[in-house]
Amino acid sequence: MTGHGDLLRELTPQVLAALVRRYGHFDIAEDAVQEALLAAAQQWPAGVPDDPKAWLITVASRRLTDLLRSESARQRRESAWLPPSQHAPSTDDSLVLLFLCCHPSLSPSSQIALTLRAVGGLTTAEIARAFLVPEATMTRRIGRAKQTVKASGVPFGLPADDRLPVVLHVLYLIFNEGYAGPGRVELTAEAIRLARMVRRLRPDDAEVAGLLALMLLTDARRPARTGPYGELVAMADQDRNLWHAKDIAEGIDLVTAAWTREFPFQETRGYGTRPSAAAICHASGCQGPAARYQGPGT
Amino acid sequence: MKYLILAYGSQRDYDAMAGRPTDGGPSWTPQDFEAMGTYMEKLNNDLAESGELVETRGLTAPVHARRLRQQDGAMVVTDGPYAEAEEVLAGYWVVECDSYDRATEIATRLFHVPGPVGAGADVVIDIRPVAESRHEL
Repeated sequence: MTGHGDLLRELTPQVLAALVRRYGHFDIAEDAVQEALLAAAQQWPAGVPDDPKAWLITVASRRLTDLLRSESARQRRESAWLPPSQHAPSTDDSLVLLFLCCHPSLSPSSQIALTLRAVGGLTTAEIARAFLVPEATMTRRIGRAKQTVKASGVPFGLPADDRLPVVLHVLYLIFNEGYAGPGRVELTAEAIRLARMVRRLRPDDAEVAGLLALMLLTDARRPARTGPYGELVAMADQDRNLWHAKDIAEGIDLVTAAWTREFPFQETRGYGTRPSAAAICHASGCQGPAARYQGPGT
Repeated sequence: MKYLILAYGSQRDYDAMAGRPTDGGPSWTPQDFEAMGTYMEKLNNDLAESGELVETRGLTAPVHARRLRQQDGAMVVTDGPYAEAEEVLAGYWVVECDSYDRATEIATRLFHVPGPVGAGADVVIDIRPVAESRHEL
């Protein structure tokens, strides 16, 4: 996906949602979108279409028809009809997809894998590489996850339960996976990208802001976190000139703004804002010997 | 007087039109498909110009159909309920014209849709007078 990767990943949930809204079949539509992404990666270098999203929807729709054709030859698809608890406005499509991927009957590892593929637009091979498992293992994991979502008979709509905390937890796990080891930076970047997306959809949610802040503040210290031999450098010994000042400023702004809206130390939630409060302390240097962090060179 | 003109097609016909391989059926090229589109546009434009066209729509492939029914009081959905060769509604026209014969004349144009050899050989078109009120039922 080099070259158009960012655009394709941004469009992935929109295209998938458009397909599922129009035709249903979350599991097969997801495969169809992946194939459309692949076609785009092959064809767009010769020229990006005028309306990339419409192009992807058209190609994915055709692939969906093809896939349904081969599927329906094998089995008759019959299921109980469950009306959606709420019809989500189409502006919430990416959130609906995140809720589907974070279905409560899925294990965390399945939720993560499905989220990265269906919402993040990563290929199975990329996800397998990030989690250091064979591609075949990841293929089976994602396949089973989609079967579970499909078997649950969920319609395309906002679930009755508030699943946002689960979504945030999944994004946090993705971030941690990326942060845990060198060479997996793409997962932290992806977690931050998805957290930004959720924040666009839920701009007033303090937990979302808190989680994004936590990710930004933590990731900002990455360059200083390890020495030349990959050894961990303690916070007090880190060269703060290496920290990403822009991310730190953004993270602090987010948490500060969130605090003014919601008391941060609630026992029931507090998933994002509390740790980011700690991260602010670190980023602003109040636990270390150095003065309050003012940005590199100060 | 309003008439509904109904055109039918099977999933196999849709597959053929999309250029997918079908066993024994005619195979459409993109040029064939374009020629068909141009013919249909001309037909629809003519009807719009004469003021007879109320509405016309083509339907997506039968594989996308959903059938809803009740089973022991619960709603059951079947996706793609049709057999491959089953002829189902593929498109329709609502025309408003002076007589049943004029509506029939319009419908005959659907037998001249261009396509590859063998396509359309077994085409059937239905024409149904639309009830103007429930008293006509």
